[in-house]
Amino acid sequence: MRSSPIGRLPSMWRAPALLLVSWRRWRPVLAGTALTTLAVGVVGRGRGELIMAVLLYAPPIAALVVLGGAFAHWRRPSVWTTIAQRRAAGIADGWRLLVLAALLYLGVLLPIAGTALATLAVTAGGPERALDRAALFAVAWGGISFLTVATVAVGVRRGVAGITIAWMVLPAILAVVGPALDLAKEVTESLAYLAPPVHAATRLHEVLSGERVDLTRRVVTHLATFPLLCAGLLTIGLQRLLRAPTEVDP
Amino acid sequence: MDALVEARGVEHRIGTRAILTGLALTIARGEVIGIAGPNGAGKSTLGRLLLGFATPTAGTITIAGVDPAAHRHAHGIGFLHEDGGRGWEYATPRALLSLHLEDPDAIRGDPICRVLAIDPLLDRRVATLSKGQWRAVQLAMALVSRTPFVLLDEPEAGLDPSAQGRLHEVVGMRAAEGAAILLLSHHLDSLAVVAAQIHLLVQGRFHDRFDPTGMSAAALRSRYTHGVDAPAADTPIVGRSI
Repeated sequence: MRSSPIGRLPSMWRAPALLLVSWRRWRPVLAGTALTTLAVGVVGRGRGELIMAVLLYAPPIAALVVLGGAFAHWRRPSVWTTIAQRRAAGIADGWRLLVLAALLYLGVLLPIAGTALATLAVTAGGPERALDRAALFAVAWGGISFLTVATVAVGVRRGVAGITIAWMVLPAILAVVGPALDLAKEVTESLAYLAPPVHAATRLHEVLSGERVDLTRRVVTHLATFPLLCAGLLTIGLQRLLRAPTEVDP
Repeated sequence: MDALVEARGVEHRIGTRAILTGLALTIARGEVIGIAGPNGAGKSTLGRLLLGFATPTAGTITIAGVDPAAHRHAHGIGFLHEDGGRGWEYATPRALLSLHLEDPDAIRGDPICRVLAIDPLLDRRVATLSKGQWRAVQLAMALVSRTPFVLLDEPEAGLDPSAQGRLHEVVGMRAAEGAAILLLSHHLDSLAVVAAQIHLLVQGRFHDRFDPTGMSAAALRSRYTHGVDAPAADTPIVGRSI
């Protein structure tokens, strides 16, 4: 008797696995990953700025493709109702889908980032320092991108998405509004603590190497609290998604 | 009578617009109830409330004494969605059915799958199935997990007369096993085959209820037309066992 590979999984993993399998954007994702990896390896030699641009843009794009696609697929009425009608369907399904999506995200990102870092190691003038900086940035930024996009993908069309987007543009708002309001330095610094940790990812190497001890508190605060904030927003978003997505509301 | 589903004074509003008003409904274990009504009458909205996918603005709904969402979490719900099923094109029926059965190997021997004749379809991609074949697979998905409450929304859609016969057979099988079954449909003749009572839902209210046993197609149509045109009746509607 034949049996489905999905059916051989423990029952709790079948729904998230089937969601990812049936989403089925594998070919474009694999082709995009292969082409980008190849392009970075061929064109990236001697171009440190290009490598850093790849490390900056690849994580959010990969997260958007994988997470945005997977959760948009889940929101389709017939998909959502099939998942929701099962016994013990609940928020755990959402966390498990995030775990599987994270593995897929790593599968996309590792070849691209690995090739970029290897290319940098071969061609950079002062390879060790530049490589350390780029590797630390890639790890921190990869994690931040995944968490940010996951929060938006889960909370999309809901208040959570609005909060997340407003928060992501907070540095821009501060840059424009801050000088005009003539805010005190303490207020500006306090608000900076609430800003997204993009800056923290770029400064992590300097903090760890002791070059910017003054930034330690802010960088550590951002990198430590950011996952907790995202976990809270993800929990709210998943609970709302599980109650009913927009498409199946009456 | 051992009532599984009980709804009392159910109202549902979207903004200021009343979708459902003063609904009362009881479905016993082993009972099949049909709800018919014109488009926009509120059938699917009532279905979503009974499934716990939405909460009524007023009134109470319980399934086995708890609210529908809690019941769904504890026991699951056999639900056939009226939507055509876009989204599962690349899945196989076997993988989909494994969501609803702890032991996926039980699919082949399941009497419901046998009656619905889906064995040859199990390893085909959903995208390659005809509309009727996919509907049969969806029916199996709604019924194989043996949930206490089953709600089928427009189950006849896309089924030929022979497949409709199989639909009636599996609904009867689940009712005989003790499931409370609610059918939402425009097809009065099909409802009349399996439902102990048919309720007419018009503009968010139950306007009529009747036992369709022995009624001709013409009599059913006449009753439907009369019910749709009749004034609202506020009396609670209680089904009976078959």
